[in-house]
Order: sequence, then C-alpha cells, then structure tokens
Amino acid sequence: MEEMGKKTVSLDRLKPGEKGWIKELLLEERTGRKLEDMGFQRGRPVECAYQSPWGDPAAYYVMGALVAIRRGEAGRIQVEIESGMENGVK
Amino acid sequence: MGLSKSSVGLGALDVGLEIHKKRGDDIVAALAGNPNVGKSTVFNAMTGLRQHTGNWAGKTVAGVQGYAFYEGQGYVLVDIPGCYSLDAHSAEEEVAGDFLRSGEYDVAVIVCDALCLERNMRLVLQVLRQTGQVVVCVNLMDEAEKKHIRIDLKELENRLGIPVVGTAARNGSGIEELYGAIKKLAGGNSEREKGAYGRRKPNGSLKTPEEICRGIVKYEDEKYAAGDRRKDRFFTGKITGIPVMLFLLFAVFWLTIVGANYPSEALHAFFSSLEGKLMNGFCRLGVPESVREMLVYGLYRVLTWVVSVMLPPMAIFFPLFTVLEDSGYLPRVAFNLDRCFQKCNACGKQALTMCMVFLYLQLS
Repeated sequence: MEEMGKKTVSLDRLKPGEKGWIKELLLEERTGRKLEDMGFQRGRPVECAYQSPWGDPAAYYVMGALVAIRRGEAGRIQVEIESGMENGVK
Repeated sequence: MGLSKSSVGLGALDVGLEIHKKRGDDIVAALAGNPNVGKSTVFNAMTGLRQHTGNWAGKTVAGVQGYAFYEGQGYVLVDIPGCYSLDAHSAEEEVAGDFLRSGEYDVAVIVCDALCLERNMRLVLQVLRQTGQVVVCVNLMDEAEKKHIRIDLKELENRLGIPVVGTAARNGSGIEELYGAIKKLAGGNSEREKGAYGRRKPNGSLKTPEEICRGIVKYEDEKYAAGDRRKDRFFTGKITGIPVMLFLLFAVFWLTIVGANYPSEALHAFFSSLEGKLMNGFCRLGVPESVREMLVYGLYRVLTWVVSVMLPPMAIFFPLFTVLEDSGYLPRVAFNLDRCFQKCNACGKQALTMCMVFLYLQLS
C-alpha cells in the first residue's frame, strides 16, 4: 500500500496461480509458529496452487512444499502482492 | 508394532524412550526429521522391518525401535515421530524434542526431503545446536531427480560441517553410505563406551536455512512440477474433483461388495461341505447328540459364517485402499472433503474412517 504498485491483502484472497510475499502472520502464537515451521515465514514467496472444490481449504506452494491450510488461517496471513496481479479483488 | 492400546493410548505419549541394546558396542542412531519425509521408509530400509508407513503426517507416534546388524556392527535404530522443530507444538513433537535433547544416542540422523530442503534445514540447525553428532540424510533423491532438481550434497556437507548422505530409501539406494557415515561418526567402541555425546561439539554459529541452502538446490527445469499440478488440478478441481472422487470410492466399494460375493460363496460352500464330515466324526467319537449339535450347528457354523462373510471383503478392501494411499490420493480426498467435515468440527482426514464405517454398514 505504501509502495507504488504493491498491496497488502490476506492470503485467502489469492487465486490459483497468483503469487505474493508473506508479510505478517496475525495468528495466535501456537498456530503461527506451526505455520512458520511449515514454511509460512516472513519474506517468503507464496503461491496459491489450488482451492478445494468448495473453495476452502486451499493449497499453497511455499518453500518448495505444497501445504494446504483452511481459510480461517489463510485469512490471517498478510501477503504483499503486485497491484496488477489480483484480478477482480477490490 | 500394530495398533495396540500401548501404541495409541494415552500411555504412548509419555513413554520415555528406553533404549534396548543387544550388545555393549551397539551404535544407537536416532532417526528424526520433518513429518512426511520418509523416516519410516529409511527405518525400514535400514532394519528390514516392515513398520507401517503411510502418506499421513504423524504415522509414528511413539518412538519405534529396530535392530540391524550391518558389516559386523550392531545398530539400535530409533524412529522418532516427525517434527518441524524442537519447540513442541504437539505430543509427537514433544517426544521427539525430549529425545533429541536427552542425548541418549550416539548419532542423530536427520532425514530431509530433497524436494524442500530449506524447510527441513530449520530442524537440522536446531539439532546441531544440541549436538554435533549429526548425519544429514537427504531422502527422496529419486523424486528430486524425476523433477530435475539437482542438489549439491558435497557443498551442503562443507557448509554444515557434518556428513551428508543422499538416499532413495524406497529402492534402498544410499543406505550403505548412510551406515558408513553413522559408523564413522559414532567412532570406535572405546570412545562410545565413555557414553559422552557431543564428541563433536554442537555448532551454534551456523547461518540461517536460507543461507545454507543458497545455490545448493538447482531447479534444472523450472516447470518441473507441471505434471503434478495438472494431476492435482484434475483430482481436486471444482468440476472434476468431486465426481472423480465419488467414482473412485464407488469403484472401491463396488469391487469390494460385488467382488467379495464369489469368494464368500466358495468359502461358505467349502465350510458347509465339512460340516457333515465333522458331524460324523463326532458321532464316531461317541459325543452325545446335544453336545454335537452345539459344537457343529452352533460354534462351527457361526464361526465359519462370519469368516466367509467378513474375510473376502476385507481382503479386497484393504489392498485397494493401500493402492489409493500409496498413490497419494487420500490426502487429496481429505483436501476435497475438509470443508464438509469442518462444519462438524472434524477434519478431512476423517474421510478414511468414514469410508470404513460405510463399508461395514454395507456389509451388515
């Protein structure tokens, strides 16, 4: 938001194929640390791989691994994306 | 070990691992690593045991021990539950962390997934802060090769200052080298008997996982995962995911229920044909009629009935499910169904249990 062309959204806004960089985990400590261990760490690139047929959970490529998490958790992970990248997300 | 009360009950959580050496000079090697990197496969490859492996994280809850004798040296191998780090998030990780801190081993083998080495490096560095007696085993090298990922193991060894061995435990490659590295690090018998771990000093000065792995992993083919992605899109897609899943599960149930009829009938016919002979036999032995009838029409008939009805479906269902499990499809089912299970505070993994319940309802 501060920088031109960059924008911060929550991870669950990413559609399959879209990429972002993890900025912050707004989760309670236990869950946050677990997700960090699984690869969701600050500064890491993350890509939404696919969503389940119901849209939740979704799988993400992070640190070379494919990790599926629920929307509840993804919604609390802040990612920075290039402004042009999101389609149809306000 | 199977699913027994001691392996899954509350007791499994706080068993302090007790090491059973056969000989004084046995080397105790602990196998640790992130969940799902194939620790149990490495363990099986090393011991020749058939400890159950599966595509679920957290297969091994309590530590499992195995014994191997290789080139004149005995090894006690301890399969430690998978953990991402030494700070405990769950019961398994606590067991793992406690054991790794305890130092009741000669060598810690940290099994890593070649496909996401950097993520695994976090645990390696944490363990290295506790002890220097570490061998890094980069497993799934065959998978990495398939996906055109090259890993510079020599350079990794230089940067970490500990032995690094590449393995593909599923087909046993690299296991010899792993034994070699463990033996070399454990040192001679006399040194080991002193019992002091950390003859190699812990190393706290190492850099971050990112720095360690920089330049070591090379993706020769950027589109390496394209095939996997296409498959995953198909199996978990909005349009295809659910119908494909229903079709596959239906096929499994159909094969089980319809397919089991034939062996069931054959078994039933076989057991019935023995019934008359059994009766005659008892007759000749002079067993009184009431006892005879109780034994043959009661005990024998009920027992064989149950066997002929239950055995064939199980003999078909479980192998079929194993195929689905090994192909990695079950986690996709969990992924597809998680939303539905979430609504009742369960998780997608329980889909497997549901399938079994459904099968038994069908049978009864």
